[in-house]
Amino acid sequence: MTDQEWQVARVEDLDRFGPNEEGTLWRPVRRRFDVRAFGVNAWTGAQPGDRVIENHREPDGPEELYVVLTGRATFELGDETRDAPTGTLVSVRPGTVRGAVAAEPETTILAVGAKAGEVFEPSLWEEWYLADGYRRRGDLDRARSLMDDLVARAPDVWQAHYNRACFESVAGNTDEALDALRRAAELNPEEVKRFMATDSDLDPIRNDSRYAEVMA
Amino acid sequence: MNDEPKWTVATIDEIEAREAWIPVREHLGIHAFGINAYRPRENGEIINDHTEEGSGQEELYVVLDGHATFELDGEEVDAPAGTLVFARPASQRKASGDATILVIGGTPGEAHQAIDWGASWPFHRESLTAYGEHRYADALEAVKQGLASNPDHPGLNYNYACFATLAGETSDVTFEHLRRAVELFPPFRAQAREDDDFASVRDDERFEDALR
Repeated sequence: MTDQEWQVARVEDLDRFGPNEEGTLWRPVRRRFDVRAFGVNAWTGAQPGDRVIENHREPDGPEELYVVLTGRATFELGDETRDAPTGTLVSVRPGTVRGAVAAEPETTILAVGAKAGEVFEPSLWEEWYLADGYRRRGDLDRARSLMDDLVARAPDVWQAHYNRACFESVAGNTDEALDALRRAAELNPEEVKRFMATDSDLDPIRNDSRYAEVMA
Repeated sequence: MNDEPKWTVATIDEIEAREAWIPVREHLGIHAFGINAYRPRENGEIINDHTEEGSGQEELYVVLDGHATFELDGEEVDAPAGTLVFARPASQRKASGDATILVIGGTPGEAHQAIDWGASWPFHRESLTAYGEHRYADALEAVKQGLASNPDHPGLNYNYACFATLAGETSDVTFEHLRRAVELFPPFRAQAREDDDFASVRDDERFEDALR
């Protein structure tokens, strides 16, 4: 958090979190500048074939604009693919499935988003990504502190508890993981069971007898 | 909203420029935040010297290509392609050089609202040129022509009131256009109260009536 009147950064100097399993690096922008009016983050695929933008849709309604800042990307938009060299702008309506893969080394895409007609609120996923990023870096204390903040801010949001369960499971803390998973399942049993079935983060606790109780 | 395309792809060069201003938001049909691009004017200026204290907007500038120099609260900042500059409302900022700069903006705590100029742009441009040269009657005439084909355009209604006031035409029709502008686009209410164009009618009771 900062109240500086202005700040400057170069794309290459933005922090790099990841890569995740698909090769995606998250480059926080909104948090870096503490932007409060719209969502903005950069994503990088370091090698051709690395995923830059996760294949997803935004069912809750944010409009999203993607700007190819460096390299070259292949966008997947509904059933079509589009070549997108540096400087390409891609605007996607809510509900449309979209994603992008790097076609050149160091392909970075800026993603800007907000909901039309609504006041912008920073999304909780950033906190989760940051905690997960610190966990992958081996900075468990910082990661846990962020997870604690997330659960404190959103005690009734199932994803906060679910993400904490994943975090503790991977960190080897079976009791804490199961407690968090139980709380998540109380809040939204259908979604939690759906995610639990295939989430490799939960593999370390899957054989615990208490895990089956949550699934039941 | 249902007839809008599910996605749109464009490069800056494919978007029809309005002089140095490239209307990205309008071209891509975005409503949730402000986004436009700018290229140098003849004097090399890309972003004019200003703050956003009036609008309360935060702005993120992205140097897409070329090389720009920013001046931020009096401090010079070198900004090659790939530079991000974030400015809070009070920051005094300008930029020049040979570059394309993308600007993303929004006001914290407020849903974004913006005006599409579309087919009204030629009339708006002509009126702004005349306004800049203090030819207020000509500016008003251009706005009237624009309103003939688009009577409910909020910006044209607002500018009608501004230019008519400056041209000394302060009949009820002028205040009716101001009232209509605020009805179509409520942010004009606050803007009108700060706008020097209305200095001569600020104490006219019809002015406050129009802003109710």
